[in-house]
Amino acid sequence: MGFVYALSAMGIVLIYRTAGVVNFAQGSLVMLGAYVATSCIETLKLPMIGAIIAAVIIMAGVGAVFQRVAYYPLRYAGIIPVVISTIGVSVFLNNGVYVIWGTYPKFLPPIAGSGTITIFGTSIPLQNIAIALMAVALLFFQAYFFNKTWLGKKMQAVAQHQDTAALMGIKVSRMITFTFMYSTALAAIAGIFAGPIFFVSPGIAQILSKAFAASVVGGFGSVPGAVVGGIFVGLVETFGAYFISSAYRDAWAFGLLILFLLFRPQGIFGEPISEKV
Amino acid sequence: MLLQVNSIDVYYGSVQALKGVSLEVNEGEITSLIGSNGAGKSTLLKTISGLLKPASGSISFMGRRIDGLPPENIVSLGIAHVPEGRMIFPAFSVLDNLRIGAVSRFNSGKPKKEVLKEIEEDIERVFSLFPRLKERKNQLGWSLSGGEQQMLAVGRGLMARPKLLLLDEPSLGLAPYLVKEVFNIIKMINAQGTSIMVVEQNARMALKASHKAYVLETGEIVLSGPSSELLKSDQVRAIYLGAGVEQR
Ligand SMILES: Nc1ncnc2c1ncn2[C@@H]1O[C@H](COP(=O)(O)OP(=O)(O)OP(=O)(O)O)[C@@H](O)[C@H]1O
Ligand SMILES: [Mg+2]
Repeated sequence: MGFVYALSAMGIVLIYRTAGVVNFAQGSLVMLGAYVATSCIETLKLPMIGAIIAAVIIMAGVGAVFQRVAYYPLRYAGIIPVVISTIGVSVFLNNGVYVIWGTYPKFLPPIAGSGTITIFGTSIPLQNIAIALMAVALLFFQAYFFNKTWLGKKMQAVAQHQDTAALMGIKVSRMITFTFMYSTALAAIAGIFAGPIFFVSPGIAQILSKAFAASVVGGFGSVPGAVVGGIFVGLVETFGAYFISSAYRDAWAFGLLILFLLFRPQGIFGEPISEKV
Repeated sequence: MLLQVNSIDVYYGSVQALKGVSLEVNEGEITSLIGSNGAGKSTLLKTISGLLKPASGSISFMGRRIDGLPPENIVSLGIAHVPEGRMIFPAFSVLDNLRIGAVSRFNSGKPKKEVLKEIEEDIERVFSLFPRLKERKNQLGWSLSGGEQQMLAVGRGLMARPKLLLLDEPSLGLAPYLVKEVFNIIKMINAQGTSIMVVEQNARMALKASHKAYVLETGEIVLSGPSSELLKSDQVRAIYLGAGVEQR
């Protein structure tokens, strides 16, 4: 679960850093990703791995459209109009899925099946192992992409200083589009993992609030913070539910959020950069 | 003539920041632009590099109209702008800051491999101008001192292999001995064949280093001529050279 939060939070943080916009539609995009993956399996009869790839690509395209519709026309209007427009998109998606996929929740099978494997006498669901492997692979990919490729560095440059990036010869608006596409692709992966845990329904969009909790706990604006924050929120939620009470499952995550806001508003990774510059 | 700015007007919303400004930069020279706070110096550089668009007037570079082009095209044509306040990428290492300064060169039509090789050569060239940067090549931008950041900003500008380098207040906030060093390097870069336009509040340094100078006051050019003559002019001495006392 922590990983799902981490992925959603990462999408929010990347867009925030690059475009300076808080994207309130990220939870709905996670939900849409889960629906799209369901259709890839049920309607297109793709095998699991093909469905994942197809969903990620389709959602990246959705990210480009989303950017064009909700952000681009308002990019000089300041943060509030864009935030409102992302909320609008989120409402549109949460209701729009009923039109396409009906009101019944859909079922998305776990990507690694429902088997378990026994290690040292403990049985672990294969799905959890698949999620962990995928998480590690994705983090390596991301570290490589942002630090070693020219495209990744250009996107990072735009996130640091837009005007200066333009002076270097970087097409700023194109990099912002890529960032939106990348963040929505992350949302698709989060949706594919979230699907089997919840049912595929607009309820998934509520991940948004946990993703925000994760980004704040990690330090808003920090990508490693989003990952650590996501896992942290997931753990607190699971342990709180297990050891104290599962009826208040959501309360544990928000309790954590409130504690951080009170005592360490800059999060775990309080940005040294913004203090210095 | 390398650059010709032809009576441009520039506005921020309804506030006019430049009023009919015209100037020329000759190939191979250092041209300086002096003026006090808020005169519009940075605005002029931003308009040349495409961050701002003039409401009227025109800008030509090597005989070609460039006003209205986006900044990423202007840098590809050969104008590199080193902005005020350095604007180093704080999360990038010194090396990555230099490399990102060269991205415009992938538009030159040369094979990518060749450009990559040239970039590595140019990094060495920047390191030979600024040996301090070589010692800190893996250090992150935010952790550099002000002087090192300024050197990195100039070095990053050079990575575009510009024909014209625009420098916005390179001496800002530097200790006097560093100001001298920065100006020596500016002269060295110019001697190696890059034309330079430098904006300064430190009028004495700028006038001494440049061939030609313009004085900007509240959005208008009020004086221009060979730097050696401006250095002697009573008007400039009274306002900008503070009767022998260094400005700031
Ligand atoms: N983004 C902006 N929005 C509105 N007005 C601006 C903006 N940037 C600059 N100005 C105004 O335009 C005028 C010229 O500013 P500019 O930054 O070009 O001056 P400058 O000569 O570079 O000054 P300094 O020496 O302080 O850097 C000033 O009156 C300033 O207040
Ligand atoms: Mg200025």
